[in-house]
Amino acid sequence: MKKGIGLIIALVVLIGIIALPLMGTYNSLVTLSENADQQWANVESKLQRRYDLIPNLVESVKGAMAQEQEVFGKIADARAKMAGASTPDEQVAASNELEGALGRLLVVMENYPELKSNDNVTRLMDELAGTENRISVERDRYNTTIADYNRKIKRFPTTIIAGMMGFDQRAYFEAAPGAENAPKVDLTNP
Amino acid sequence: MNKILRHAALAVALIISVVTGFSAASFAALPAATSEFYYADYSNLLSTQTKDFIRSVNLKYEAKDEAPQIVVATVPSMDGDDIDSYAPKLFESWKIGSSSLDNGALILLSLEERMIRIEVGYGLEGAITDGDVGQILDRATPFLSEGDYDKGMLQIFYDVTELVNREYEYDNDEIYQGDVPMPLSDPYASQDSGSFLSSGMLIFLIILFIIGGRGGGKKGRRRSNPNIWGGFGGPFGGGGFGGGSGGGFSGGGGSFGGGGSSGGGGGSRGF
Repeated sequence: MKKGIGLIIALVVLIGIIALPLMGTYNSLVTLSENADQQWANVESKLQRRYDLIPNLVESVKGAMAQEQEVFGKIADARAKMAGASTPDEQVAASNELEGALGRLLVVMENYPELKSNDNVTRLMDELAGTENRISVERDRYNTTIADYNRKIKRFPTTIIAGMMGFDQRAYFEAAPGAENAPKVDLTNP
Repeated sequence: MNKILRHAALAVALIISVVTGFSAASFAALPAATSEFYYADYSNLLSTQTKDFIRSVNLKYEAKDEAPQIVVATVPSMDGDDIDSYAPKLFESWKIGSSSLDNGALILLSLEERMIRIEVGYGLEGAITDGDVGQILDRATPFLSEGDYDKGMLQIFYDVTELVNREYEYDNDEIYQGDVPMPLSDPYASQDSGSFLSSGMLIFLIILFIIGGRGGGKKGRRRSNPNIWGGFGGPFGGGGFGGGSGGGFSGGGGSFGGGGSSGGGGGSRGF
C-alpha cells in the first residue's frame, strides 16, 4: 500500500519535471507567435492607410496627367489585387506591386512641375511619403519579431516541441526587389 | 598547423561577426539622450536662447496631464544611415513622449547629409499630419539652406508646438513664456486651421461667409483667410491607425523619455 503511494508521488514528480519546462517553452512560443501576429496587424494597418490614400492622390493628379493612363491603370490593378489578397503572402506580393506602380507614378510626375507647386498635391505626396516610411518601419519591426520566433523554433530542444505542437517557420516580409533604389518622393523646391 | 589555427580564428571571427552583426546593425552607435533631454545639440547649431526656450516650453508641458515631449536634436552625421529610418530608431531609443499617449515628436537635423526630419509619435499623428510636417519643413528650409540653423530649428519648434497646443487646447501665451520672437511673422497653426474644421464649424463659417458677402462693405471686420478654403487636402489618414502597438516598445530605460513610441510618421526634407 505504502509502496503504491510512493510510486504515484514519484510518477507525479516525474511528470512535473517533464511537463513544466514543456509548458514554459510552449507558452514562450505562443507569446512570440502572438507578438508576430500583433506586429503583422500594424503592418496591415499601414498598408490599408496607403490603400486609402491612393484614390485621393490619383484624383488630384489625374487631370493634369491625362496622357499617363498606363500608370493609372497599373495602380488600379495593383490596388484591386491588394483588396483581393487574403493571406499575408498575397498581401506582400500585392503590396510590392503597388509600391512599384506608385514608384512609376512618382517618376512620371517629375515631368509635371506644375503639380509640385500645387499645395494639395504636395500635401498628398507628403502623406504618401510618410505612409511609405511607416510601412517600411513596421515591416522592419515585423521582420524582427519573425526572426525572434524563427530562431526560437529552430533551436534545440525547442525545435522538438515546436514540431510536435505545430509551430512552423514563418516567412519574412521581403521588400520588393529593387525597392532599395525605388524613387524617393522629392519635394525639395528647385 | 599554423594555417589550421588561422582558419579556425577566421571562422570564429566570422561566426562572431554574423551573430553580433544582426543586433549591432540596428543599434549602430546612436547618440545618447543628453542630461537635458529636450535638446541634444551635437552639432552645436543652437543658441543658448533657443535651447532655453525649448527647455522652458517642455517644462510647461511636463506640468500638463498629457505631458507631451518635443525634442530637438542635431547630429553631425548619421554614418550612412537614411534619416527616415535613423529618426525612428533614435525616437525609440530615447522613448520620447508618454508611454500611454505616445505623444512625442523629434525634430532631427543631420549636418553632413543636410537633412531635416520631424518624427511624430503615434499619439500625435492626428495633430501633426505628414502634410503638416511637409509644410512646416518647407517654411523653415530657406533658413537652413542659408546656414541660419538656429532660426530654422526655432521656427520648426514653434510650428510643431503650436499644433500640439491646439490639439490639447493649451494656451499659447502660457506655454511660450519668455521673450523669444518667432523668426517668421505668421504662425503655421492658425493659417492652416482649414484642415481641422469640424463640419459644424464649417457650416457656421459658410453661413458667416454668405452673410458677410451680403453685408458688402463690412468686409474689413471679418478677417477671411483664403487658406481656410484651400486647406482641405490635409487630414487624409491623419492618425486613424497606429496607436495600437505603443506599449510594446516602451519600458523604463532610466532616461527622461516617457516611453513613447513612433512608427515612422512625419516627414523629411533636404536643405
